Amino acid sequence: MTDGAQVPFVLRLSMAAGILGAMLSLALFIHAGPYELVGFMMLAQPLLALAVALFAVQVFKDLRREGLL
Amino acid sequence: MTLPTGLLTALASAAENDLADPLPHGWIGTTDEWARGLGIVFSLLAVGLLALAWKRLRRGGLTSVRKELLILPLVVLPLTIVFLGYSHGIESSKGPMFCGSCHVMKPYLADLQNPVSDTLAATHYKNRYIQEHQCYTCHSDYGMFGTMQAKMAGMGHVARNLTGAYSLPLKISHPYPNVRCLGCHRESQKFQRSEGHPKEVLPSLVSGETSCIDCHGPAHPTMTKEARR
Repeated sequence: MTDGAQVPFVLRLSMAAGILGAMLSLALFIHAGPYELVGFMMLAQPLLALAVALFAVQVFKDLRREGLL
Repeated sequence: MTLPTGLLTALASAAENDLADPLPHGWIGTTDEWARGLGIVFSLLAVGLLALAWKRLRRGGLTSVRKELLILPLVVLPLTIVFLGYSHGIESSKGPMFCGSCHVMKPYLADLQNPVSDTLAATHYKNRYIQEHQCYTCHSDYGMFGTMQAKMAGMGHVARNLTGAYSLPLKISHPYPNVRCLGCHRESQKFQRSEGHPKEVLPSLVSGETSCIDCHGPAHPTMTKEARR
């Protein structure tokens, strides 16, 4: 990734998953009801994990491209 | 002589405060309250930072500095939010209000909190035999797997409630195990020396051959048509 380059799809996906996951988590923190808890367990956690994983994939790709791995 | 409304409100508020549980010196809140507060802050921070980054990235592309800064909202904050959410979610789901938040459970909660009810659940509740997490204490086994099993079953209950895949009146899915009663009562003198628990009967109670509920029930009221749906 260089300055001004187009934002990679993987990174955009990671950010979208992060935003959705954080918003679903916020619902649980504001009101901890059964549906909010299931939403957190079944959707927010996987989305946040996906955000971390996709970001790691992007970092790994960048490092390989720059010959550091 | 009539007192001003403001003064009456202040007196009512003071009386309410007098009835509140006294807090220990240096009280800064429970772990759960901290988890909730920090969870809200970190979630808002993550959403805000990611929204801002999304906007900036679309406009100016991705610089190496921005890429490094994304570690905070895409690695540190998500992991922290998951930890806090799990902690707060599990803790919150143990309270009776959580169970009673589904419409179908409201009659059970109403009976639990009814001071004139003589069901086993209400007796435990009004006498504070169980300090907190009253539903959860009696409806989950002990230890880590007990919690996990209760939560997995709870997920199923939410799904059934959402889809309406249940029939009324509700029935417990398995025979109520004595181990949940004995966890608290087994070592008590009242249990061991009760005339209703002669020594020859104790082994069958401990093994579960004789159910505690058979003599000490009903645990909850029998639902009438008015109490349904």
